[in-house]
Amino acid sequence: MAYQNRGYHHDSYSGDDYEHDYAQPDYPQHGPAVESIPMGHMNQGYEDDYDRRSRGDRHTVNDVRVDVDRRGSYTDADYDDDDEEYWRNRYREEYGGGRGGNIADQLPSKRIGTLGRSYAHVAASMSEDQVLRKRSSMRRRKSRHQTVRAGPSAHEAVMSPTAYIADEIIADEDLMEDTEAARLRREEAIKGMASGMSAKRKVRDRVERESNKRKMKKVGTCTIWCSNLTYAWRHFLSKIAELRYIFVLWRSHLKKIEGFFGTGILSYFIFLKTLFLLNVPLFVLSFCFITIPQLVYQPSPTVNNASFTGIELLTGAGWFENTELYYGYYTNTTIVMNPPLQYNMQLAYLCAGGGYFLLCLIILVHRMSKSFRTNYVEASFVKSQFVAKIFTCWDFGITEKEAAKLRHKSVYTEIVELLAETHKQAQELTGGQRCCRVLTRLCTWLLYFAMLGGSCYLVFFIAERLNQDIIKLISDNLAAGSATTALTLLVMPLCISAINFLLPFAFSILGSLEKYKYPRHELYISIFRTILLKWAILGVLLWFWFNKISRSSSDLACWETYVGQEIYRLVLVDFVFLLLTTFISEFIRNLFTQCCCKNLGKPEFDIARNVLDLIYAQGLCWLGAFFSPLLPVICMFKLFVFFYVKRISVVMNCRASSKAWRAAQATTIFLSILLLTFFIALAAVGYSIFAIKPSEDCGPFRGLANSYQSVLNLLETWQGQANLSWIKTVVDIIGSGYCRAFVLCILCLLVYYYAKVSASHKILVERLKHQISEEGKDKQFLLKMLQDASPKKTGSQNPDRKSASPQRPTSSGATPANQTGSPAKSPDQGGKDAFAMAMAARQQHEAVGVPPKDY
Amino acid sequence: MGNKQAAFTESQLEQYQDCTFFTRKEILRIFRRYRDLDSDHIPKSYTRGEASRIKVPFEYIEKMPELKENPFRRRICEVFSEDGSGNMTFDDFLDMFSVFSEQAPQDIKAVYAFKIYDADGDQFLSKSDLGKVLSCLTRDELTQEEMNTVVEKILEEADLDDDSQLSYMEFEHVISRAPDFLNTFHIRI
Repeated sequence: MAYQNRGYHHDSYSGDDYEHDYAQPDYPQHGPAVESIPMGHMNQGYEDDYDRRSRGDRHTVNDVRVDVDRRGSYTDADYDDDDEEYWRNRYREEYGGGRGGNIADQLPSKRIGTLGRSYAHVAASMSEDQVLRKRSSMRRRKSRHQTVRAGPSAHEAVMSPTAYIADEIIADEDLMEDTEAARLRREEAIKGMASGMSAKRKVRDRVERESNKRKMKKVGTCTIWCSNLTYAWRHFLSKIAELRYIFVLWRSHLKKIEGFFGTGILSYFIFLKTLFLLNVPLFVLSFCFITIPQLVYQPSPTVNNASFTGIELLTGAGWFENTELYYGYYTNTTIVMNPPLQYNMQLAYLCAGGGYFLLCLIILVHRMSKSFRTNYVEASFVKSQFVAKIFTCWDFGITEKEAAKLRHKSVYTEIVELLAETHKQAQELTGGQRCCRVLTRLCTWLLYFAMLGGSCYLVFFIAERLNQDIIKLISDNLAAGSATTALTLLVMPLCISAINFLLPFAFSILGSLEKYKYPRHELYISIFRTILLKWAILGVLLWFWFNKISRSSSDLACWETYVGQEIYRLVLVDFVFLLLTTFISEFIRNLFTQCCCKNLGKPEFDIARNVLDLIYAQGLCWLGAFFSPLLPVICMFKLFVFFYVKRISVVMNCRASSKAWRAAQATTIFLSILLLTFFIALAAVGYSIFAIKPSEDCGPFRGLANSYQSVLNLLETWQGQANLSWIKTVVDIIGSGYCRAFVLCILCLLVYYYAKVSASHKILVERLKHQISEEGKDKQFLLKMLQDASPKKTGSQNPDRKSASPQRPTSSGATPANQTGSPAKSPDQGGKDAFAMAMAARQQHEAVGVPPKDY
Repeated sequence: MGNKQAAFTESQLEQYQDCTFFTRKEILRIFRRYRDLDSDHIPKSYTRGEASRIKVPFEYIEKMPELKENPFRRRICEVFSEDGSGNMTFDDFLDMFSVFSEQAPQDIKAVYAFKIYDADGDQFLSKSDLGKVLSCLTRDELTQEEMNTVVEKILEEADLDDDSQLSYMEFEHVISRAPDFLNTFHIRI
């Protein structure tokens, strides 16, 4: 705390020196507007106020105001000696001038913290226990101010905020540790200051100097080595961050799209990008661990004598059948490169897939939980329609005139709708209307299930019908090149794509018939219906493949390859179909609009439908990755092309939706749908690994009862070796029923526990919210009394105490609401603060000798 | 920067990196954007303290594509310029995009959003501030009556202490839980 000791002590303000000190010219660089001291700062200030008064000063707290420029950054140029004078000047001007003012202006709740927020930010970036420690250390410091330094520190009330922040950071041991982590936290703290660049720069320089000074003190070889290492690591990270900037995919495109359409349509493209990136590890894993060993090994068990005509690209059959594209081509042997090095193809096949699914699970669950927490759980604490709408409805990223116009319009309609909604809530439906509505919905749901059942049956029927033909076609390989065969192969994928394209339109008509109260309910229902259709179709196909195809081993040489081909065709036809529909429904329609009928208007970009199409495509990709290890490449290519096609199409042909799109919440919903699709794919692949007998003469698992058998075989061989036999025991224990039941019980208990905790938090939050509003009313009441009382007593000490006391509840009461994460701690803290206040007040009265007045 | 004269010294760049959410490349990129605003008057090199001295008038900044359609552009420039005039030095300019960047945390964004919406700068969103925000957003299409209702509704929802204005605390309490705030209070540069 060298800074505080450098003659910056409050003593210079007290007594007679004080007049003399302030006979300085005004500081040249202070801004015009007035802002008060930030909140965290002010808290300190109260205590100091009390202390000051205890020494006989006669200034009211009303006057503790500091000039600041408008943005809350304090424009002091340098807070060495000049700075000190400047703040003394300010101090005298404001303090000695006896300028009265509205007391409400000085309330802490009014202050936008230059410091308060930055600290919240620092606290947020630290873990829970660190915060606790930090709080307690801050408290310790406060108490030190009061007890040890009984002569109080008035300077802090008028000290430049930059200096104050720097001091706070320097005084914080967590931030000033000589570790890289602390350094990063320091940087975070400085970045988190809500003040101008010059203030930040000053704080940074000072903190840097201080930390360098501290570093000098203790230097051990180990620490040097560690710091070198951490420095290198940091350097590496910053290089990576710069690289990241170059490699951020499609940055300029995303900017452009946001400029044209705002965050709604942008969220579709971000989703597409997420899926693309998600497929990269899938591709890398399967390519590196399955395809490359196979290529290196080159067993060529069957000679690929089929000719390549080009139509195979569409059907995936014929020439492709005996390539690395499909499961059937892979070998089951253990590749031996040099005698000690072995590569077990079976295990590689299982581990690459398993590893990817695990990775995917982690990524998806992580994203999902994060998004769910911010968008639903935390949002549910505050029920605000208007505030959230008004303050978040403008997309700051919009750069196009048209988009801005449209956005203005949509904001207007939304506000009007919201108003209408709040009025409508009052009026109840009559019995007849309600009955009518229930009937309509019943009908629409029945119709929906009829459509769903119909399309599922259609898929099943076609699959069953064509099954034999296709098997025959595949077995006599020669016919695969002709157009009719290709058509036979493509009937089912075409049919499924057509269903997937057409039925959602029918569902949206159904939705509009149902007359939901809120448009978003209609949207959610139509999303639900569409995705259910897609899942149902996938389910039918899976059932067909696993039950019929895999059992008909007599007709089919390799059922896994067959399934792989089917999925390949589905993926490819889906791709072509989506391209075509994009072209027709967006490009042609736009042309049509421009040429003949102008009032048709540009097509709207239907985000929900497009995102669901992507999810379906991704589901196919996950399903197919086991049967066709190179399918992820095709999916990546597909998404890549899709990004550009959609990007061009959307900017050229589409207009933004006139309805608002709640991007954040919708993204959560889509993520959860993606996760569910992932689980379906996982379950299907898992089932095929654990329960279905692989083909006899092809693929890595030939001759086994099921694919999982390969792992069991490995365990068997390990059991034979003395030093590895424990692994088998462990696996047996984990696999036993007792263990599973135990884990299930633990999980249930955990869920129960967390549900209880969250319920009690909710109650606590309610109570605290109530408390805040009560405190607010108290504040109003006391302020009013104070305002009435103050003109009579200007210059006397009594109002001071009063003006300070109502401020307390607000600051202590407002804290818990802002830290819902840890609400339990805050009342305690508030209590301590209140206690400190009481102590300070008593000290004051003892010193001045005025008996406390009873208000 | 190749054989061209460097715009900033190493230590300046480090300072900027520590004080904003940008990497070195992004800072240089933003500097290029800044120079493009008025390339005749802005020097190529900023190594001698020009960053906090030379100001670009609001009229030029306003024409940036990132800002020109924004209904709050005047207020944004005022809030971010050090003297409140709307004329910006490079420091201010960088600071602005740092706050609007993706990496900036919610609480800083909330502070600046509050300042932007607080048109009269009195640290409270009073009824008149809210009215101004509304008319900016809808281009004065709301009737006076609708506007009053909306303002009332906003206060009903967020004004915890019944003083018919929103303090920063009250504003932050609501805005930090509005899911779309981070998405929308964001400018890609």
